[in-house]
Amino acid sequence: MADKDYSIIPDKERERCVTGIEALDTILNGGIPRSNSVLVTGSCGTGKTTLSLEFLVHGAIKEENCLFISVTEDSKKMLNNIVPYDFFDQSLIEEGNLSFIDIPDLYDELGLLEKSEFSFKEIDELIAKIEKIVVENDIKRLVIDSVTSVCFQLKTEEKIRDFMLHLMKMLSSHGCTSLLISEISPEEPRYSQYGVEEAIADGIIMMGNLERQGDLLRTLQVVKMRGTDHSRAKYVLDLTAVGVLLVPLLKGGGVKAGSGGGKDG
Amino acid sequence: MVSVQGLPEKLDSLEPGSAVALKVDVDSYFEVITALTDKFPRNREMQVIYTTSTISSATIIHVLDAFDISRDNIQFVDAVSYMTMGASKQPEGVTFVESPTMLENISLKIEYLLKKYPADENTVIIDSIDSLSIHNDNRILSEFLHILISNLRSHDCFTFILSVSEQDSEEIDNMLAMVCDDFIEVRPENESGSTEVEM
Ligand SMILES: Nc1ncnc2c1ncn2[C@@H]1O[C@H](COP(=O)(O)OP(=O)(O)O)[C@@H](O)[C@H]1O
Ligand SMILES: [Mg+2]
Repeated sequence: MADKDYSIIPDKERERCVTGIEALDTILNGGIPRSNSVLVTGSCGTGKTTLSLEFLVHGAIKEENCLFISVTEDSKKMLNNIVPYDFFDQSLIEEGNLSFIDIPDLYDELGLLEKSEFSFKEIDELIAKIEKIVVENDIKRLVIDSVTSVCFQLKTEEKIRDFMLHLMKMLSSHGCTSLLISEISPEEPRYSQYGVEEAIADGIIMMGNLERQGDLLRTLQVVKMRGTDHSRAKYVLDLTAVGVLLVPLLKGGGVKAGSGGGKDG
Repeated sequence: MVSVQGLPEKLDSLEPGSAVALKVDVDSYFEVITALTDKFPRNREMQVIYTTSTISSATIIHVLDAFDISRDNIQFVDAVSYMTMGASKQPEGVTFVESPTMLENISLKIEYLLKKYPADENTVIIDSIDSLSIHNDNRILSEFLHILISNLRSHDCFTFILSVSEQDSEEIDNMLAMVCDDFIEVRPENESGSTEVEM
Protein backbone atom coordinates (compact mmCIF):
# COMPACT_ATOMS: atom_id res chain seq x y z
CA MET A 1 0.00 0.00 0.00
CA ALA A 2 1.47 3.32 -1.06
CA ASP A 3 0.27 5.57 1.73
CA LYS A 4 -0.21 9.24 1.02
CA ASP A 5 -0.45 11.57 3.96
CA TYR A 6 -3.38 13.77 3.04
CA SER A 7 -3.29 15.51 6.40
CA ILE A 8 -0.37 17.72 5.32
CA ILE A 9 -2.18 19.08 2.25
CA PRO A 10 -3.96 22.38 3.02
CA ASP A 11 -7.76 22.09 2.87
CA LYS A 12 -8.21 24.53 0.00
CA GLU A 13 -5.89 22.56 -2.23
CA ARG A 14 -7.44 19.17 -1.68
CA GLU A 15 -8.95 17.88 -4.86
CA ARG A 16 -12.70 17.35 -4.58
CA CYS A 17 -14.86 14.44 -5.45
CA VAL A 18 -17.90 16.32 -6.72
CA THR A 19 -20.83 14.24 -5.50
CA GLY A 20 -23.16 15.64 -8.20
CA ILE A 21 -25.79 16.18 -5.53
CA GLU A 22 -25.76 19.93 -5.99
CA ALA A 23 -26.90 21.00 -2.56
CA LEU A 24 -24.53 18.60 -0.84
CA ASP A 25 -21.61 19.92 -2.88
CA THR A 26 -22.59 23.42 -1.81
CA ILE A 27 -22.71 22.36 1.86
CA LEU A 28 -19.25 20.82 1.42
CA ASN A 29 -17.79 23.82 -0.40
CA GLY A 30 -17.27 21.93 -3.63
CA GLY A 31 -17.55 18.28 -2.75
CA ILE A 32 -16.02 15.55 -0.62
CA PRO A 33 -12.24 15.91 -0.38
CA ARG A 34 -11.02 13.12 -2.62
CA SER A 35 -10.01 9.87 -0.91
CA ASN A 36 -12.05 10.61 2.20
CA SER A 37 -13.95 7.74 3.81
CA VAL A 38 -17.33 9.05 4.83
CA LEU A 39 -19.76 7.37 7.17
CA VAL A 40 -23.35 7.83 5.97
CA THR A 41 -25.33 7.13 9.06
CA GLY A 42 -28.99 7.00 9.98
CA SER A 43 -31.86 4.73 10.81
CA CYS A 44 -33.76 2.60 8.32
CA GLY A 45 -35.61 4.45 5.54
CA THR A 46 -33.78 7.76 5.91
CA GLY A 47 -32.39 7.64 2.35
CA LYS A 48 -28.82 6.40 2.87
CA THR A 49 -28.92 3.86 0.06
CA THR A 50 -30.63 6.28 -2.30
CA LEU A 51 -28.10 9.07 -1.62
CA SER A 52 -25.16 6.69 -2.03
CA LEU A 53 -26.44 5.30 -5.32
CA GLU A 54 -26.88 8.79 -6.66
CA PHE A 55 -23.28 9.58 -5.68
CA LEU A 56 -22.14 6.61 -7.76
CA VAL A 57 -24.39 7.37 -10.72
CA HIS A 58 -22.99 10.91 -10.95
CA GLY A 59 -19.48 9.48 -10.73
CA ALA A 60 -20.20 7.02 -13.52
CA ILE A 61 -21.60 9.83 -15.68
CA LYS A 62 -18.23 11.58 -15.22
CA GLU A 63 -16.59 8.35 -16.33
CA GLU A 64 -15.13 7.55 -12.95
CA ASN A 65 -15.24 3.87 -12.09
CA CYS A 66 -17.77 3.32 -9.35
CA LEU A 67 -18.49 0.25 -7.24
CA PHE A 68 -21.41 -0.60 -5.00
CA ILE A 69 -20.75 -3.43 -2.54
CA SER A 70 -24.06 -4.68 -1.33
CA VAL A 71 -24.14 -6.46 2.00
CA THR A 72 -27.75 -6.40 3.11
CA GLU A 73 -29.71 -6.46 -0.12
CA ASP A 74 -29.44 -8.19 -3.47
CA SER A 75 -27.89 -5.72 -5.92
CA LYS A 76 -30.44 -6.64 -8.61
CA LYS A 77 -33.08 -5.21 -6.33
CA MET A 78 -30.89 -2.15 -5.90
CA LEU A 79 -30.88 -1.62 -9.65
CA ASN A 80 -34.64 -1.45 -9.70
CA ASN A 81 -34.37 1.48 -7.33
CA ILE A 82 -32.19 3.65 -9.55
CA VAL A 83 -34.10 3.22 -12.76
CA PRO A 84 -36.61 6.04 -11.95
CA TYR A 85 -33.78 8.63 -11.96
CA ASP A 86 -34.04 11.01 -14.90
CA PHE A 87 -30.25 11.08 -15.22
CA PHE A 88 -29.75 7.33 -14.99
CA ASP A 89 -28.93 5.39 -18.09
CA GLN A 90 -28.62 1.61 -18.22
CA SER A 91 -25.50 2.01 -20.36
CA LEU A 92 -23.67 3.31 -17.27
CA ILE A 93 -23.77 -0.24 -15.98
CA GLU A 94 -23.37 -2.01 -19.31
CA GLU A 95 -20.33 0.02 -20.34
CA GLY A 96 -18.65 -0.69 -17.07
CA ASN A 97 -18.34 2.59 -15.15
CA LEU A 98 -20.86 1.46 -12.55
CA SER A 99 -20.65 -2.00 -11.09
CA PHE A 100 -22.27 -3.96 -8.30
CA ILE A 101 -20.96 -6.74 -6.12
CA ASP A 102 -22.90 -8.76 -3.59
CA ILE A 103 -20.64 -9.41 -0.64
CA PRO A 104 -21.75 -13.05 -0.22
CA ASP A 105 -19.93 -13.69 -3.52
CA LEU A 106 -16.71 -12.34 -1.99
CA TYR A 107 -17.25 -14.31 1.21
CA ASP A 108 -17.77 -17.39 -0.91
CA GLU A 109 -14.48 -16.92 -2.77
CA LEU A 110 -12.67 -16.45 0.54
CA GLY A 111 -14.38 -19.42 2.18
CA LEU A 112 -16.04 -17.12 4.71
CA LEU A 113 -19.63 -17.78 3.82
CA GLU A 114 -20.29 -20.15 6.70
CA LYS A 115 -18.22 -18.26 9.28
CA SER A 116 -20.15 -16.60 12.08
CA GLU A 117 -17.09 -14.69 13.27
CA PHE A 118 -14.07 -13.61 11.20
CA SER A 119 -10.51 -13.85 12.51
CA PHE A 120 -8.01 -10.97 12.15
CA LYS A 121 -6.41 -12.90 9.31
CA GLU A 122 -9.75 -13.27 7.53
CA ILE A 123 -10.44 -9.57 7.95
CA ASP A 124 -7.11 -8.85 6.25
CA GLU A 125 -8.01 -11.23 3.45
CA LEU A 126 -11.36 -9.53 2.95
CA ILE A 127 -9.71 -6.11 2.76
CA ALA A 128 -7.04 -7.47 0.40
CA LYS A 129 -9.81 -8.84 -1.80
CA ILE A 130 -11.58 -5.49 -1.91
CA GLU A 131 -8.24 -3.79 -2.58
CA LYS A 132 -7.59 -6.08 -5.52
CA ILE A 133 -10.95 -5.15 -7.04
CA VAL A 134 -10.37 -1.44 -6.40
CA VAL A 135 -6.91 -1.49 -7.97
CA GLU A 136 -7.69 -3.73 -10.92
CA ASN A 137 -10.76 -1.69 -11.84
CA ASP A 138 -9.32 1.70 -10.88
CA ILE A 139 -12.35 2.34 -8.64
CA LYS A 140 -12.66 6.01 -7.71
CA ARG A 141 -15.97 5.89 -5.83
CA LEU A 142 -17.01 3.09 -3.56
CA VAL A 143 -20.09 2.43 -1.46
CA ILE A 144 -20.45 -0.35 1.11
CA ASP A 145 -24.06 -0.83 2.15
CA SER A 146 -23.72 -1.40 5.01
CA VAL A 147 -20.49 -1.64 7.00
CA THR A 148 -22.66 -2.28 10.04
CA SER A 149 -23.64 -5.60 8.52
CA VAL A 150 -20.01 -6.51 7.82
CA CYS A 151 -19.14 -5.58 11.39
CA PHE A 152 -21.82 -7.95 12.57
CA GLN A 153 -19.44 -10.77 11.57
CA LEU A 154 -16.57 -9.21 13.52
CA LYS A 155 -18.10 -9.22 16.97
CA THR A 156 -15.40 -7.51 19.03
CA GLU A 157 -14.68 -3.80 19.15
CA GLU A 158 -11.02 -4.53 18.50
CA LYS A 159 -11.78 -6.34 15.25
CA ILE A 160 -14.23 -3.68 14.14
CA ARG A 161 -11.62 -1.01 14.75
CA ASP A 162 -9.04 -3.06 12.88
CA PHE A 163 -11.38 -3.59 9.92
CA MET A 164 -12.53 0.02 9.64
CA LEU A 165 -9.03 1.43 10.07
CA HIS A 166 -7.45 -0.82 7.46
CA LEU A 167 -10.33 -0.51 5.02
CA MET A 168 -10.31 3.29 5.14
CA LYS A 169 -6.54 3.49 4.93
CA MET A 170 -6.49 1.15 1.96
CA LEU A 171 -9.23 3.06 0.08
CA SER A 172 -7.59 6.39 0.77
CA SER A 173 -4.20 5.14 -0.44
CA HIS A 174 -5.76 4.43 -3.84
CA GLY A 175 -7.46 7.82 -4.07
CA CYS A 176 -10.84 6.17 -3.71
CA THR A 177 -13.62 8.26 -2.16
CA SER A 178 -16.00 6.08 -0.19
CA LEU A 179 -19.40 6.25 1.43
CA LEU A 180 -19.66 3.64 4.13
CA ILE A 181 -23.22 3.16 5.25
CA SER A 182 -23.88 2.78 8.93
CA GLU A 183 -27.23 1.61 10.23
CA ILE A 184 -28.30 2.87 13.61
CA SER A 185 -31.53 2.63 15.54
CA PRO A 186 -33.56 5.86 15.63
CA GLU A 187 -32.94 6.43 19.33
CA GLU A 188 -29.17 5.87 19.04
CA PRO A 189 -27.32 8.74 20.67
CA ARG A 190 -24.22 8.14 18.57
CA TYR A 191 -23.41 8.05 14.87
CA SER A 192 -22.50 4.39 14.52
CA GLN A 193 -23.56 1.07 15.91
CA TYR A 194 -20.24 0.29 17.53
CA GLY A 195 -18.96 3.78 18.29
CA VAL A 196 -15.52 3.16 16.80
CA GLU A 197 -16.45 3.80 13.15
CA GLU A 198 -17.35 7.42 13.78
CA ALA A 199 -14.00 8.25 15.35
CA ILE A 200 -12.01 6.77 12.49
CA ALA A 201 -14.05 8.12 9.55
CA ASP A 202 -12.91 11.25 7.68
CA GLY A 203 -16.49 12.41 7.49
CA ILE A 204 -19.93 11.78 8.88
CA ILE A 205 -23.17 12.51 7.04
CA MET A 206 -26.07 12.03 9.40
CA MET A 207 -29.51 11.29 8.00
CA GLY A 208 -32.65 11.16 10.07
CA ASN A 209 -36.28 11.92 10.64
CA LEU A 210 -37.39 14.99 12.50
CA GLU A 211 -40.81 15.35 14.00
CA ARG A 212 -42.07 18.90 14.22
CA GLN A 213 -45.57 19.44 15.51
CA GLY A 214 -46.84 16.22 13.99
CA ASP A 215 -45.02 16.63 10.66
CA LEU A 216 -42.26 14.18 9.83
CA LEU A 217 -39.36 15.68 7.89
CA ARG A 218 -36.38 13.83 6.39
CA THR A 219 -33.13 15.51 7.41
CA LEU A 220 -29.44 15.51 6.50
CA GLN A 221 -26.55 17.03 8.39
CA VAL A 222 -22.83 16.99 7.68
CA VAL A 223 -21.45 16.44 11.15
CA LYS A 224 -17.81 16.08 10.22
CA MET A 225 -15.70 16.32 7.05
CA ARG A 226 -11.95 16.40 7.15
CA GLY A 227 -10.25 18.53 4.54
CA THR A 228 -12.90 21.18 3.96
CA ASP A 229 -14.96 23.84 5.64
CA HIS A 230 -18.62 22.90 5.64
CA SER A 231 -22.01 23.84 6.95
CA ARG A 232 -23.01 21.91 10.04
CA ALA A 233 -26.62 22.98 9.78
CA LYS A 234 -29.50 20.57 9.45
CA TYR A 235 -31.19 20.36 6.04
CA VAL A 236 -34.54 18.95 5.00
CA LEU A 237 -34.27 16.36 2.27
CA ASP A 238 -36.47 15.04 -0.51
CA LEU A 239 -35.77 11.95 -2.61
CA THR A 240 -36.98 12.67 -6.13
CA ALA A 241 -36.61 11.55 -9.73
CA VAL A 242 -34.14 14.43 -10.25
CA GLY A 243 -32.13 13.22 -7.27
CA VAL A 244 -31.68 14.24 -3.66
CA LEU A 245 -32.85 17.80 -3.00
CA LEU A 246 -32.02 19.77 0.14
CA VAL A 247 -33.23 23.00 1.73
CA PRO A 248 -32.20 24.46 5.09
CA LEU A 249 -34.31 23.40 8.06
CA LEU A 250 -36.26 26.45 9.19
CA LYS A 251 -35.51 27.51 12.73
CA GLY A 252 -38.03 30.27 13.17
CA GLY A 253 -35.67 32.59 15.00
CA GLY A 254 -33.99 29.97 17.16
CA VAL A 255 -35.41 29.10 20.57
CA LYS A 256 -38.65 27.17 20.32
CA ALA A 257 -41.40 27.98 22.75
CA GLY A 258 -41.19 25.69 25.74
CA SER A 259 -37.85 24.15 24.76
CA GLY A 260 -36.00 25.38 27.79
CA GLY A 261 -34.56 28.75 28.59
CA GLY A 262 -37.99 29.63 29.99
CA LYS A 263 -38.53 31.96 32.85
CA ASP A 264 -35.67 32.28 35.21
CA GLY A 265 -36.48 32.40 38.91
CA MET B 1 -51.70 51.04 -6.59
CA VAL B 2 -52.65 49.66 -9.97
CA SER B 3 -56.06 48.78 -11.29
CA VAL B 4 -56.85 45.21 -12.27
CA GLN B 5 -56.84 46.22 -15.95
CA GLY B 6 -53.50 47.91 -15.53
CA LEU B 7 -51.92 44.85 -13.92
CA PRO B 8 -50.78 43.02 -17.09
CA GLU B 9 -48.89 46.08 -18.24
CA LYS B 10 -47.32 46.47 -14.84
CA LEU B 11 -46.29 42.80 -14.85
CA ASP B 12 -44.68 43.16 -18.27
CA SER B 13 -42.43 45.88 -16.92
CA LEU B 14 -40.88 43.58 -14.28
CA GLU B 15 -37.37 42.23 -14.55
CA PRO B 16 -36.63 38.49 -14.19
CA GLY B 17 -35.58 37.73 -10.63
CA SER B 18 -38.13 40.17 -9.21
CA ALA B 19 -40.00 39.25 -6.05
CA VAL B 20 -43.32 41.03 -5.91
CA ALA B 21 -45.93 41.26 -3.16
CA LEU B 22 -49.40 41.53 -4.66
CA LYS B 23 -51.97 42.87 -2.31
CA VAL B 24 -55.27 41.77 -3.73
CA ASP B 25 -58.81 42.67 -2.86
CA VAL B 26 -61.10 39.62 -2.61
CA ASP B 27 -63.24 40.81 -5.53
CA SER B 28 -60.20 41.04 -7.83
CA TYR B 29 -58.71 37.72 -6.73
CA PHE B 30 -59.63 35.60 -9.76
CA GLU B 31 -58.79 38.37 -12.20
CA VAL B 32 -55.35 38.65 -10.66
CA ILE B 33 -54.88 34.90 -10.89
CA THR B 34 -55.80 34.89 -14.56
CA ALA B 35 -53.45 37.80 -15.24
CA LEU B 36 -50.62 35.87 -13.58
CA THR B 37 -51.33 32.53 -15.22
CA ASP B 38 -52.37 33.62 -18.68
CA LYS B 39 -51.28 36.84 -20.33
CA PHE B 40 -48.07 37.35 -18.42
CA PRO B 41 -46.54 33.88 -18.90
CA ARG B 42 -47.95 33.48 -22.42
CA ASN B 43 -46.12 36.55 -23.67
CA ARG B 44 -42.85 35.07 -22.48
CA GLU B 45 -43.50 31.34 -23.01
CA MET B 46 -42.92 30.95 -19.34
CA GLN B 47 -43.53 28.06 -16.96
CA VAL B 48 -45.73 28.83 -13.96
CA ILE B 49 -45.41 27.07 -10.61
CA TYR B 50 -48.55 27.84 -8.68
CA THR B 51 -48.28 27.14 -4.95
CA THR B 52 -51.57 27.12 -3.15
CA SER B 53 -52.24 26.99 0.54
CA THR B 54 -55.58 28.81 0.28
CA ILE B 55 -57.95 26.98 -2.03
CA SER B 56 -57.41 23.58 -3.60
CA SER B 57 -55.61 23.24 -6.92
CA ALA B 58 -58.76 21.53 -8.19
CA THR B 59 -60.74 24.74 -7.66
CA ILE B 60 -58.09 26.87 -9.37
CA ILE B 61 -57.92 24.41 -12.26
CA HIS B 62 -61.69 24.67 -12.52
CA VAL B 63 -61.47 28.44 -12.76
CA LEU B 64 -58.68 28.37 -15.35
CA ASP B 65 -60.64 25.89 -17.45
CA ALA B 66 -63.74 28.07 -17.20
CA PHE B 67 -61.70 30.98 -18.57
CA ASP B 68 -60.19 28.73 -21.28
CA ILE B 69 -56.70 29.30 -19.96
CA SER B 70 -54.22 26.68 -21.12
CA ARG B 71 -52.62 24.71 -18.29
CA ASP B 72 -49.84 23.26 -20.45
CA ASN B 73 -47.21 25.33 -18.73
CA ILE B 74 -48.67 25.39 -15.24
CA GLN B 75 -47.60 23.11 -12.40
CA PHE B 76 -49.34 23.17 -9.04
CA VAL B 77 -47.89 22.68 -5.59
CA ASP B 78 -50.94 22.04 -3.45
CA ALA B 79 -50.58 22.25 0.32
CA VAL B 80 -54.28 22.09 1.17
CA SER B 81 -55.69 19.01 -0.56
CA TYR B 82 -53.53 16.23 0.84
CA MET B 83 -55.21 16.13 4.19
CA THR B 84 -58.62 15.67 2.64
CA MET B 85 -57.75 13.60 -0.43
CA GLY B 86 -54.72 11.56 0.60
CA ALA B 87 -51.82 10.69 -1.69
CA SER B 88 -53.72 8.34 -3.98
CA LYS B 89 -55.42 10.79 -6.31
CA GLN B 90 -52.58 13.07 -7.35
CA PRO B 91 -53.77 14.49 -10.69
CA GLU B 92 -51.35 15.30 -13.47
CA GLY B 93 -49.63 18.63 -13.05
CA VAL B 94 -50.26 18.69 -9.31
CA THR B 95 -47.75 17.90 -6.56
CA PHE B 96 -49.07 17.62 -3.03
CA VAL B 97 -47.41 18.83 0.11
CA GLU B 98 -48.82 17.10 3.16
CA SER B 99 -49.52 20.22 5.14
CA PRO B 100 -49.03 24.00 4.88
CA THR B 101 -46.83 23.71 7.98
CA MET B 102 -44.25 21.79 5.96
CA LEU B 103 -42.74 24.93 4.49
CA GLU B 104 -39.46 23.23 3.67
CA ASN B 105 -41.36 20.68 1.60
CA ILE B 106 -43.05 23.50 -0.33
CA SER B 107 -39.57 24.83 -1.20
CA LEU B 108 -38.41 21.32 -2.10
CA LYS B 109 -41.35 20.76 -4.46
CA ILE B 110 -40.74 24.09 -6.19
CA GLU B 111 -37.06 23.17 -6.55
CA TYR B 112 -38.08 19.78 -7.89
CA LEU B 113 -40.38 21.25 -10.54
CA LEU B 114 -37.73 23.75 -11.63
CA LYS B 115 -35.30 20.89 -12.16
CA LYS B 116 -37.77 18.41 -13.57
CA TYR B 117 -39.19 20.81 -16.15
CA PRO B 118 -36.39 23.18 -17.10
CA ALA B 119 -37.70 26.34 -18.75
CA ASP B 120 -36.01 29.50 -19.95
CA GLU B 121 -38.18 31.57 -17.66
CA ASN B 122 -40.22 30.70 -14.61
CA THR B 123 -42.86 32.31 -12.47
CA VAL B 124 -43.55 31.11 -8.95
CA ILE B 125 -46.80 32.17 -7.31
CA ILE B 126 -47.36 31.82 -3.57
CA ASP B 127 -51.09 31.93 -2.84
CA SER B 128 -51.20 33.17 -0.17
CA ILE B 129 -49.17 34.65 2.61
CA ASP B 130 -52.31 34.97 4.73
CA SER B 131 -53.16 31.29 4.69
CA LEU B 132 -49.54 30.36 5.38
CA SER B 133 -49.55 32.72 8.33
CA ILE B 134 -52.60 30.99 9.80
CA HIS B 135 -50.63 27.73 9.94
CA ASN B 136 -47.16 29.03 10.72
CA ASP B 137 -45.43 31.22 13.20
CA ASN B 138 -44.49 34.53 11.54
CA ARG B 139 -40.80 34.13 12.35
CA ILE B 140 -40.58 30.78 10.61
CA LEU B 141 -42.67 32.18 7.74
CA SER B 142 -40.37 35.11 7.17
CA GLU B 143 -37.33 32.81 7.28
CA PHE B 144 -39.05 30.60 4.69
CA LEU B 145 -39.73 33.55 2.37
CA HIS B 146 -36.20 34.84 2.75
CA ILE B 147 -34.59 31.54 1.77
CA LEU B 148 -37.12 30.77 -0.95
CA ILE B 149 -36.89 34.17 -2.61
CA SER B 150 -33.13 34.32 -2.60
CA ASN B 151 -33.05 30.87 -4.14
CA LEU B 152 -35.64 31.79 -6.79
CA ARG B 153 -33.80 35.02 -7.51
CA SER B 154 -30.66 33.03 -8.20
CA HIS B 155 -32.69 31.09 -10.78
CA ASP B 156 -33.93 34.42 -12.27
CA CYS B 157 -37.52 33.46 -11.45
CA PHE B 158 -40.36 35.90 -11.05
CA THR B 159 -41.90 35.42 -7.62
CA PHE B 160 -45.38 36.67 -6.72
CA ILE B 161 -46.61 36.52 -3.18
CA LEU B 162 -50.33 37.07 -2.91
CA SER B 163 -51.91 38.72 0.05
CA VAL B 164 -55.70 38.53 -0.02
CA SER B 165 -56.47 39.46 3.49
CA GLU B 166 -59.69 41.35 4.21
CA GLN B 167 -58.08 43.30 6.95
CA ASP B 168 -54.62 44.77 7.00
CA SER B 169 -51.97 43.05 9.02
CA GLU B 170 -49.04 45.29 9.74
CA GLU B 171 -46.86 42.34 10.62
CA ILE B 172 -47.43 40.62 7.29
CA ASP B 173 -47.00 43.87 5.37
CA ASN B 174 -43.68 44.40 7.11
CA MET B 175 -42.61 40.88 6.33
CA LEU B 176 -43.43 41.34 2.65
CA ALA B 177 -41.66 44.69 2.60
CA MET B 178 -38.55 42.96 3.96
CA VAL B 179 -38.37 40.21 1.36
CA CYS B 180 -39.91 41.70 -1.80
CA ASP B 181 -38.55 44.20 -4.31
CA ASP B 182 -41.97 45.47 -5.25
CA PHE B 183 -45.26 45.92 -3.43
CA ILE B 184 -48.24 46.24 -5.74
CA GLU B 185 -51.66 46.98 -4.41
CA VAL B 186 -54.30 45.95 -6.92
CA ARG B 187 -57.47 47.96 -6.79
CA PRO B 188 -60.79 46.81 -8.29
CA GLU B 189 -61.80 48.04 -11.74
CA ASN B 190 -64.22 50.82 -11.06
CA GLU B 191 -62.47 52.50 -8.16
CA SER B 192 -60.29 55.44 -8.87
CA GLY B 193 -56.92 55.17 -7.28
CA SER B 194 -53.68 56.93 -6.75
CA THR B 195 -50.29 55.87 -8.05
CA GLU B 196 -48.61 52.60 -7.23
CA VAL B 197 -46.44 52.21 -4.17
CA GLU B 198 -42.83 51.44 -4.98
CA MET B 199 -40.37 50.26 -2.41
N1 LIG C 1 -36.62 8.59 -6.25
C1 LIG C 1 -37.38 8.38 -5.17
N2 LIG C 1 -38.55 9.04 -5.05
C2 LIG C 1 -39.34 8.84 -3.97
N3 LIG C 1 -39.04 8.02 -2.97
C3 LIG C 1 -37.89 7.34 -3.02
C4 LIG C 1 -37.00 7.49 -4.12
N4 LIG C 1 -35.93 6.70 -3.90
C5 LIG C 1 -36.15 6.09 -2.71
N5 LIG C 1 -37.32 6.45 -2.19
C6 LIG C 1 -37.89 5.96 -0.92
O1 LIG C 1 -37.15 6.47 0.16
C7 LIG C 1 -37.11 5.53 1.21
C8 LIG C 1 -35.72 5.43 1.82
O2 LIG C 1 -34.86 4.83 0.95
P1 LIG C 1 -33.46 4.16 1.32
O3 LIG C 1 -32.43 4.93 0.57
O4 LIG C 1 -33.54 2.71 1.02
O5 LIG C 1 -33.24 4.36 2.90
P2 LIG C 1 -32.14 3.66 3.83
O6 LIG C 1 -31.06 3.09 2.96
O7 LIG C 1 -31.65 4.75 4.72
O8 LIG C 1 -32.85 2.60 4.61
C9 LIG C 1 -37.62 4.24 0.65
O9 LIG C 1 -38.88 4.00 1.26
C10 LIG C 1 -37.79 4.47 -0.82
O10 LIG C 1 -38.94 3.85 -1.31
MG1 LIG D 1 -30.49 1.05 2.80
